[in-house]
Order: sequence, then structure tokens, then C-alpha cells
Amino acid sequence: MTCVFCELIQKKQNVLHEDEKVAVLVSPEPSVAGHCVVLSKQHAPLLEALPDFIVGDVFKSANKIASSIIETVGAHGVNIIVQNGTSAGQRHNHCMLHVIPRNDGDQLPLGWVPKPAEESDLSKMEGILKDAFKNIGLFEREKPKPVEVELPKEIPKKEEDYRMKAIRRIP
Amino acid sequence: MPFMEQQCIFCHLVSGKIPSKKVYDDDKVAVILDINPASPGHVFILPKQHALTSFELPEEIVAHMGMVAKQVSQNMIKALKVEGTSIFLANGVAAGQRAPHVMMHVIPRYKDDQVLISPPVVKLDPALMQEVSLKLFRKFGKAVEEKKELSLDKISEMLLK
Repeated sequence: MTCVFCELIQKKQNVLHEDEKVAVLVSPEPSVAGHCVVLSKQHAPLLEALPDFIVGDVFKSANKIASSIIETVGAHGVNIIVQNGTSAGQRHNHCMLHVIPRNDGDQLPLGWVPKPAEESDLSKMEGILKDAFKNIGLFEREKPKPVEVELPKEIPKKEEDYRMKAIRRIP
Repeated sequence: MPFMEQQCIFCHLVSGKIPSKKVYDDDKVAVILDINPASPGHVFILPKQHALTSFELPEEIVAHMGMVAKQVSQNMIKALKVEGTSIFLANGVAAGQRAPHVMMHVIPRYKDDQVLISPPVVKLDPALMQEVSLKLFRKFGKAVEEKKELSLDKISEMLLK
């Protein structure tokens, strides 16, 4: 199965900006004018499938792009959103960050109604998550590229010691 | 301590001056349970350095927040047995920012929850799209001539296939 977004990146369609690992595209399915998406060039369906350092780079790019977009379209704010998994509304099998310029009264349905939680529920959740988040850490860094050493093309043959001939004759 | 930090409740949450349900902590960020959650298990990642928006943060901190968000999401999915997470950051009141300290929300997503964090696909005026896209391409230093047509229609066709 081919990925629509990998194809777009390859054809350089809609690509605003790219570097070695990350591409920024004008969203082909925009919510507002100026809506962009930031993707890793490495195909990954979920955020969790990407190495940590690439995730870092994607967020870094999104942050940079977000400020440029605000300036360019003259927006009052910006959202950076990841829909991670279909239950979060993810529609494509290439993980991406949405960068959406926002204006007062644009009525985009992005948000939630905060509901006060019971203290007992919160404490229970605190225990569960504290335990689960013990695994966080050890962020994967990019491995340095192997240094290419140029090998000498031919090793010049040394003249053989004349005494070796005599030694070889010894049975 | 600079004035802004003295006044900022979230800086006090980070330092522990105000008690909170902290679930992760390192040298750059703290992850805290939201007491008014969108869904059970909703947390937010606070950078320890005070900043109103993510633009004021050094880029290593933004990258670190992203990496923590990834691992938070990964471990949250396992621990809470949910199928997905929404990661949400708002810069500016118009974007839904409610606090004077930048934060990245990680929200576990349950079936039929009332969380609305799905950018809708909107039919926009093609002329407007073209204009804004050209502005963006100019801003990002691409030769506009190269991009005579952004072929947005073609792409939509591809997506609908």
C-alpha cells in the first residue's frame, strides 16, 4: 500500500519546506487557509513508531513553522495538534503534526469542556500514571554518522628480503 | 526570581510551592495531572523555564517536550488501555490558550468521549487558498514560478480515492 503523504513528499507537491528528516506541507485537507502539516520523511503510522530524536525534530520544525505562519497569514494564535490513533481522529496512516492558524471567532471545533474530577479518581489515576511513567527517559539520540576513511588504493609491495629465498629452500 | 515567574501559578506547580499531582519530572519539564480533565488521565507537560508561548522557548526544550509527549502517550496507552491520544498545544487565546504558561496536553482518547480535537476538512474558497499558499511559499523562500499550480484539486482527488 502506498502512502499518500510519502507520495506527496516524493513528488514535492505542496511541500513548503524540507530538510533531511522533516517535510512541511500545505495541508491537502485544510480546516482554514494556512493550515499546514509537519511530517517525518521516514514513514511511520504512529508517533510511537518514530525514534525519539525524529519526534524532537518534527516538533522543533512545527514550532518554527507555526511562528512563520502566524506572521504570514496574520493570525491571532496557532494550534499544534497530533491525532495519535484512529480513536483520536487520525485519518491517514502517516503520523503528522497539524499546525493550524487561529483567529478569534473562527469557530473551529478544537477543544474540550473541562470537567472537575473527583479527588479519589485523580489520586487513583496519579498512582497508575506515576507507575507507568517510570519508563520515561533514556531518549534515543541520533547515532553519529560513520566516518568514512579513505583507504590507500594500493599497498606498494616491499622488496623481499634476499635472505628469505635461502630460507625457503631449507626442507 | 523574575516577576513573571513569581506571579505564574504554573511555575509554582513546577517548583512544588503549590501542590499538584506530578506524574513525571526531569530537568526540563514536569508532567502534571489535569484536575479538570477532558477525559480521565489527561495530563499536561510544563516546561520548567517560564514562557508564555512555545515561541519563547529554546528549540531544544520544544524538542524535549515532543519527545516526552511521545513517551507519555506510549506509556499512557499501555497503562490505561486506550486506543489513542490527542496531543494539543495552543499559542494564543484565539487558539484556546487559558494559562499564562505554555503547556502541551496529552489526552487519552476513549470511545465516545466528548473531546473535540479533530481538525475538520472544510471546503474553502480556492482563490483564498491559492493566495494564502502563495504567500506561504514566498515566505519559505521557494521560487513561486516553480509552483505555478499547487494542484490542490488533484491532491484532494488522490485523497478521496
